[in-house]
Amino acid sequence: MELFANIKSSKLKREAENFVRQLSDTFALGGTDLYTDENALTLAQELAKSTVDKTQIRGLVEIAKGTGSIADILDTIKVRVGRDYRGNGWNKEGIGKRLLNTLQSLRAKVDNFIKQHQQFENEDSDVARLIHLQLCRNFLEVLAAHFEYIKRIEEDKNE
Amino acid sequence: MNEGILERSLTIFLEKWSDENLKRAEQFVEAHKNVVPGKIGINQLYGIQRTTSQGSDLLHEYITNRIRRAQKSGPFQKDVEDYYNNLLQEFVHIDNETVNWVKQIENRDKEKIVSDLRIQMKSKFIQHLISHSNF
Repeated sequence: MELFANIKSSKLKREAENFVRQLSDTFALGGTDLYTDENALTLAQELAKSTVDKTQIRGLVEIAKGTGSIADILDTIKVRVGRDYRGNGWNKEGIGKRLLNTLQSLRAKVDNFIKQHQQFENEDSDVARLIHLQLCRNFLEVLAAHFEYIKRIEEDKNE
Repeated sequence: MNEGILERSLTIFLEKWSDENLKRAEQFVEAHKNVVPGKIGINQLYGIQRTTSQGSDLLHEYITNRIRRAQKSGPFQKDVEDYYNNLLQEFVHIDNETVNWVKQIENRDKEKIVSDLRIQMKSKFIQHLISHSNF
């Protein structure tokens, strides 16, 4: 993973990549002991019930892929929630806030992983942030995939 | 330091700084919840963000004008005055952080780097203020 290029130890780099892969799989599949928070599928299902459309979800994924800052992703979601005055899009059932909390809560999992690998103390202090960023990107990609699939099924039903 | 490496370092510094200071911006918003949105509208914050692109001096002048205007309006606008005064304090903090970071790099054009970086950091800080105030 490009984001981890700065990790000097190849063993640690592998561990970080494995951690991200393992956790990202649970975003898609759910139900493991690693993953107990909000589920990407549930969030996608609820977003699909709102007025949020594919373009907005794709836009969010693009922002996540293009930025090196987690704050940019969170700011984008906050602005969308804030602009949803009628409460039928990002604000419906507090879905935007729940997505925000989910992305933020991933940091605790990263901190826990770092704690278990003391060798990270010799690495760049930015490693935890970069792992968190990668997880946010992966979560949003899985969410977008679920969302598009649900929307497609709905469209097929309506035809 | 060659230009490409410098640019990359600046980007990484800014991204990291932005993430680390999100909480700070959120706390700022929470501390002034009664003023924004309200006496100060979100559009005014967008206005401040646009002004950042014109440089730190103009930004400072813009906010100082807002403070003066609030002072003229009397006690009713005291919270607005406090908001802008505290924002200026945040900018002083950002200015100091920029100088400290740029000290670590070797480049002939440090003044320009400091000036550009200050603008970008202030713009990011205001982006955080806008999004959290909206939220």
